[in-house]
Amino acid sequence: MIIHANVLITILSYILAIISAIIVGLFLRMPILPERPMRYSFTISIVFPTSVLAIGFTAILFKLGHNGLLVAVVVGVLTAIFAKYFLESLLPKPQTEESS
Amino acid sequence: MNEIIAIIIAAVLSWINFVLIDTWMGLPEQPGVKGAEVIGRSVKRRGGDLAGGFFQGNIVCSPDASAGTLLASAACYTIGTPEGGLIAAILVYFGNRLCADPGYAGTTGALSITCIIFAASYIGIGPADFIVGMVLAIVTIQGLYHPFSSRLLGKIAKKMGRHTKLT
Amino acid sequence: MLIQILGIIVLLMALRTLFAQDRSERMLYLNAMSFGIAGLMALYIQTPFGAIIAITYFIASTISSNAIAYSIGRVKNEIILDE
Repeated sequence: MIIHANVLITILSYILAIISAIIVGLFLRMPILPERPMRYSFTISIVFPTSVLAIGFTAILFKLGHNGLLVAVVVGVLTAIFAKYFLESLLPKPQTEESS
Repeated sequence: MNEIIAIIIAAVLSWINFVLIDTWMGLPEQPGVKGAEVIGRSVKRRGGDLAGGFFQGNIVCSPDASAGTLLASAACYTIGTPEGGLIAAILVYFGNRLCADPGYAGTTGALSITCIIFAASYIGIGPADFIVGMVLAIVTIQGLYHPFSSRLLGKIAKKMGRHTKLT
Repeated sequence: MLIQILGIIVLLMALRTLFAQDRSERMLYLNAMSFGIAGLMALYIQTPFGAIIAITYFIASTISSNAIAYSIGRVKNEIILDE
């Protein structure tokens, strides 16, 4: 299978976006994994949702035309900052519903 | 590849994708919101399994892996693989948080079906086949005969250790 | 052909919704119909904006179904309490 250089750079950009989001997340002292059982926790951690948002925002920018490794790294950094400070106010944790 | 065979293969892959991920993420264990409990108990009253009923209720009341699969296929069709799937994963995550759900099932479903679509493109099955396949898969769970499909989901939940402890 | 398949599924689910007796059962058929309509939107509007529209419609219909299912439960409980 011939892998063109363009595809390699794209894959590398996504990996760089995740890595930069992880590094900035560790620097900002976000938890790495949510608390157990993981599937019920609303905590914002590095693995989820910061990494998912990082590659998602990178994909949006790639489709809008801004390609390249630098774009991916910048997006990773900005996503980690956004997840730490703004995500909680944008999407608040739901209060437990009162039973009828 | 013949269109009908492609749609059937895509339907089977989508069914496996969303049922396994949703069961693993605990959808049959408890109703995520009150509306899911209403639907689950109604299915049980009509002769189904309670865990399967909670699964079906959770599908209705919150975007889960089934929504992630459908929307990621739609995004891959119009925007391109894999960027479409990644963009759909973010939007499904925001939708999940709006519906009082942590968001694990939806995003995991979207990301995994993006990988499957990418692999299936090498044997001639396109994202459009996955859109139709996913709708067919959800009709088998939500649209045919609820007692039977909920009992099937309950058996799968029991095998994966996610059956509900409520009665 | 894909659009026709989805269209038939949407029509069948709509008919089942009309003829179902139980209100919660109708929610399940409506949910299957919403999947079909979201797929139709993406297949018909073949641009990236079409995917955004389909995603927005689907999440909005999920929020509506959530509210309706919650209200069905509340109404049932209130009727029982009044008797």
